[in-house]
Amino acid sequence: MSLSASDLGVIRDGRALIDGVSLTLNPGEVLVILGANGAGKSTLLRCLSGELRPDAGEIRLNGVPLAAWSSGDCARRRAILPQQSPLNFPFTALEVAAMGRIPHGGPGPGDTRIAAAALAAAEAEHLAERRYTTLSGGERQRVHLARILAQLWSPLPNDEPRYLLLDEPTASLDLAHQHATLALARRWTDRNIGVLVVLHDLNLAAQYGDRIALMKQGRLLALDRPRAVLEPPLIEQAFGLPVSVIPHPEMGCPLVIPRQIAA
Amino acid sequence: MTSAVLASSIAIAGLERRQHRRRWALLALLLLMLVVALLSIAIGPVTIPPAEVLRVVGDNLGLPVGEIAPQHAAVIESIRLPRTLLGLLVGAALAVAGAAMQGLFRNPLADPGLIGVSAGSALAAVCVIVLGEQGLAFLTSALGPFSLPLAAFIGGLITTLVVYRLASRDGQTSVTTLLLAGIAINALCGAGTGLLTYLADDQQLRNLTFWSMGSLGGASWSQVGSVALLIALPLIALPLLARTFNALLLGEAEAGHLGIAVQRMQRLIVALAALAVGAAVAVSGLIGFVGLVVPHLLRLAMGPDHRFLLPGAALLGGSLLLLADLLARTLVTPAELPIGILTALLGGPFFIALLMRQRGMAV
Repeated sequence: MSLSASDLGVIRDGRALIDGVSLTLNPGEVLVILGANGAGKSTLLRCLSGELRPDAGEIRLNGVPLAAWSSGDCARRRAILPQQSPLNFPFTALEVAAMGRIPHGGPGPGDTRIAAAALAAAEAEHLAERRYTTLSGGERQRVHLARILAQLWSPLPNDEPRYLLLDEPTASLDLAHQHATLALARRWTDRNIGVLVVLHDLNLAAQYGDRIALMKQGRLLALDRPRAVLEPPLIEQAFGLPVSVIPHPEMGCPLVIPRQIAA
Repeated sequence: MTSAVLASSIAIAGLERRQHRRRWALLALLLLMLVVALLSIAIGPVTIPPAEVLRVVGDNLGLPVGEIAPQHAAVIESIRLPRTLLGLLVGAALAVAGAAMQGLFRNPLADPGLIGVSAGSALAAVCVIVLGEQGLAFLTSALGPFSLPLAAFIGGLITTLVVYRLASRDGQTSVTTLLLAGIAINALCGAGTGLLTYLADDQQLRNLTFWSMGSLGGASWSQVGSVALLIALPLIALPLLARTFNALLLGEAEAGHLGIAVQRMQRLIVALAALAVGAAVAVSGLIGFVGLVVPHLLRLAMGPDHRFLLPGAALLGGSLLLLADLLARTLVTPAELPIGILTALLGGPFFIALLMRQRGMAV
């Protein structure tokens, strides 16, 4: 069982946003999506989240086509962290996190406890009583992280696999919280959860990804272990930037360093 | 870790305390509504002691209450009670519809009057009044007393859909576009209403004046009956959608990810809100700002959670409109101020203050 896309295509205004993309997110792994701006990362994520219906291809959630799931059943198996939310009403952070329990019939008293625990997991428990509208961008991001953790807090019957889709979760976070968030995502793969992360930082991808999907102009350029994908020719092809790759001095994973651009 | 557990338990206790306070606040609002209703029945050209009011109500419920002055009973039963009930229904409908539209547009400035929904309802109702005996005779004879509320509902529905189309793009609504679209629609509907006024005869003209300024005058039991049927549905259904409203505030995509059938729910909300506004406009004309002021006061006091906001809006909306009506008919006795003028006098400055506070925020 997995969250799988086969031969996806999305066409807008006569242009293919993604074209022939096939990939499988397995429970227990962190799959990172990399690519330049406009490479189709967000479009792919929006397809996988059910927000966008692809013009070609099919998506299956645990073997069943996405359209065949009820929206509630889907929400108990798959949670999505948005880049940003248009929320501008003064809920407290705890109330926002508790909204993650809506697919479970909440929020009731038990759900409040789960929401508080989820805030603690996202290192945002000190924000619980604060109004969402007064939080900084990074703080808001962590509250939404808590919300989707609350959404997938307890396992399904038979421990059916579940999936977290994170759209640039590190974009507005400081260095320490970038690593804390991705380490948390890693830990959650132990719960029979597959994590898909859209990232811009190649070194974060190298450090936390089990596999990396490298996209260019709507197509998959490579899909493999970090060591195989983070090769200078592939990176230069995807981003148009010459790089050197050396082994990380402590962890051994690849470390990508941009080289001087020829004037 | 222990400090995290401590912080969590403090936060949980805080939320539970807040929920507890909100429940008491709803109870207090219910009491407020009953007191205001009692005052509204008691005060008027003939002042009736509140105890006597309770006796008349008790008598109608079949309780043994002893001696009642018959003229008091008559005033209460044929004039004050229907007017009070109508005020409660209209106020509740306008406030709940306001809260619902603010949730739908994710914007606290959305008000049925400001964004043109009331004007659309009024235009449709005026159409029925002026053209009902000629062009639309087949419709009015078929629908009877429901033709006016129904027309107002359809007018409100169409304008809500138009405004929603104009103001939202990719699931985001822009306040600026929303309010500008409201100005345009208000102007268009006003022009249509003006044109029909030009065509109207004397009797119709008198009816029309009532629309443009809003009034609960002339409330009758048949009016209360027909409008109660139409308003009851949104008044009961919208608070049941509270969790959907909360989820929608996160954004359309996010609500979808939480398992909400977003498009279906949005259509349902639009229809229910338009029904509430249409029915209210059909019996009381254009009464502005109730839908703006009431939810805003409640959010200040109880926070934005729709599970409390929507029932609270129904209770406070009824009370405030009844209070405004009480002022409207006692300030300049024996004449009567149109209630719409009074709510505009109070609500206009309130809206400006709100706008000033929002100015720093992105629109």
